[in-house]
Amino acid sequence: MQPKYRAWLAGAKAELPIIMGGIPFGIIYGVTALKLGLSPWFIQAMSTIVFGGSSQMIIAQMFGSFAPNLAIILTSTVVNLRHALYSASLAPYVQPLSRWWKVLLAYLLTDEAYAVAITNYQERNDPEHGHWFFFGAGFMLWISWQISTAIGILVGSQLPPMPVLDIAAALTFIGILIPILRDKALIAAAITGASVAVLASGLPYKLDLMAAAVVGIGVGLAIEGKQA
Amino acid sequence: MSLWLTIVVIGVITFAIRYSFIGLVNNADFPAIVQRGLRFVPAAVLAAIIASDLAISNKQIDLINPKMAAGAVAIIIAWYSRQVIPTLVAGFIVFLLLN
Repeated sequence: MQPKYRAWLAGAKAELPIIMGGIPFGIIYGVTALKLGLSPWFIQAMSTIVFGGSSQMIIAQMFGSFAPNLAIILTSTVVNLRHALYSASLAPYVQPLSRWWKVLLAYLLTDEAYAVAITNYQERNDPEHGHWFFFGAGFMLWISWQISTAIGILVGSQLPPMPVLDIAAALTFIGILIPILRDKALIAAAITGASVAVLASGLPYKLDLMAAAVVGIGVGLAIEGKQA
Repeated sequence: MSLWLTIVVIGVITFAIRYSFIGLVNNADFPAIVQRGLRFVPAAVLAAIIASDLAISNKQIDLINPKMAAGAVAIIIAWYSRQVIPTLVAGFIVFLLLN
């Protein structure tokens, strides 16, 4: 097999444990949006056009309560703002790629794909095929999101709840995070990020994650500066 | 404005956010402090997502629960194994035992 296809498969495989948590979320989204009175085609189209779980849940709820369109647009923009940070952190690695590759990878850029793509870039020395890995991971998440949305629309309300899957994504992220904490500054950034996320959990629109990222980066830089 | 148009606008904005730095900026032009800061994005964001998944239930802080116990064991296993699958399995087992 060509190395690029091997990288694609490795990315797809790395994404699998995260998908375990993504599938119930997609189903819940489908069921919830249906209950809120949105049409099946519209619910499914949101999963392709927006492709962002948290924002889709909030958008569906706002449509359901007849919020003004402008408010819905602004809210979802704030919810997805954290992706700009991911975009900046991936930018140096994808710089040499063609425009179409960048468009494809940007479309697939979610929390879940970012987690495996960035650690692959940072930890494995295969810069030549990192984008294939990213594509594999992003594609797997994308296809599972489309399918789980459809399942939610078609049969979701008949499925039993499986609370254990709620923690699949968090556990996978632990497995990805811990090995990258190679120095004190990174550990400090992680502990700060976690603490701020809990303390700021009252903030709406996923701004807790933005706050956690910004403060975590600041503390990481400060610790690094002290050591230097 | 129709529902559909609203969704298309949101899709375009979401894509623009994700494409922003990947597509438009030459990273070498970032100030040095920003380049150094970006190294911390994965650690800070992943830790934040983990913490809010495990320690927040129904918008309330809840530090003592089966999810937190599963997470704590998962951190230990991840530290020694450096791998996702054993981490995931250990966390699942703890969670199921406590539920």
